[in-house]
Amino acid sequence: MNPQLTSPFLESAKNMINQMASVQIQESDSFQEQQDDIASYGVSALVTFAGVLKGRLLLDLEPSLAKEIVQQVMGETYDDMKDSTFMGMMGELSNIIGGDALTFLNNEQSYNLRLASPAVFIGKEMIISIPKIQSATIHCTSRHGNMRINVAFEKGGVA
Amino acid sequence: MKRVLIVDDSPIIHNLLRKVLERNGYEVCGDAKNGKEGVDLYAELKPDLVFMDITMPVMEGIDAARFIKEKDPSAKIIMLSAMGDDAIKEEAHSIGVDIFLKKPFDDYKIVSAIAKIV
Repeated sequence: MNPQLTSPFLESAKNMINQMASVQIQESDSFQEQQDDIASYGVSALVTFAGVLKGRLLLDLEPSLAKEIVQQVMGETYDDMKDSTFMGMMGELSNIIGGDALTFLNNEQSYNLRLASPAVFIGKEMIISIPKIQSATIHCTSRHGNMRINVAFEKGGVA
Repeated sequence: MKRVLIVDDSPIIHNLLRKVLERNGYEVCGDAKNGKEGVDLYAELKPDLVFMDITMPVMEGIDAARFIKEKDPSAKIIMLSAMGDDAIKEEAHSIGVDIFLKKPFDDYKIVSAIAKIV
């Protein structure tokens, strides 16, 4: 996939997570084409977008990392990942990361992309099936656990 | 004490923004979860200031801000959104939005923005 489309999502994830939660995320490889289904780390947040192109951003985090981010932002510990505040915070994180990346893409390429509302899924080794559209994944690490960022694009359509 | 209306579909944003506003001496007089509720609550509560998200169900923030400004041109509106590209900022300013802020936010960003318009 064109790095001009994927790299803003990595940069936004690193910058926004650092700004919001003071957690440093580091990529451990480069974006690779994703052909197989994904076995979730445990906490997944999905947000779709559409404009000149359409696509989606999937953030998949180990529970330890997700809990650290939520704790840092909310100032409280959440042991129950099904708590509405915990899930809401993960949705807001995907919204903010996606919004930041789309802001960059819109300003650089005039894609006129707009976000839809995010969805959050909790469940270790839940299978995330990848529809047959162009998709790429990058793996990231942090002191608090791992995450992956999956970005998909296809041509055309308004949300 | 200045009274603030928050319009956002995310309960997390209501929670975080309310904490920031209250610890800096503002009163949150209303919470709306979409633009339609925001328009209705504005008419009912007449707040000093509105924080308005963009992407929301029922009625988006741009439309809600337009309705509020049409009814009350003196309304003070701060758009607070995850998106912040030039086109959307231009649209917001064209309908009279006073300040456009991009999420995430902290106390300084919120208080500085309010100080400019209230």
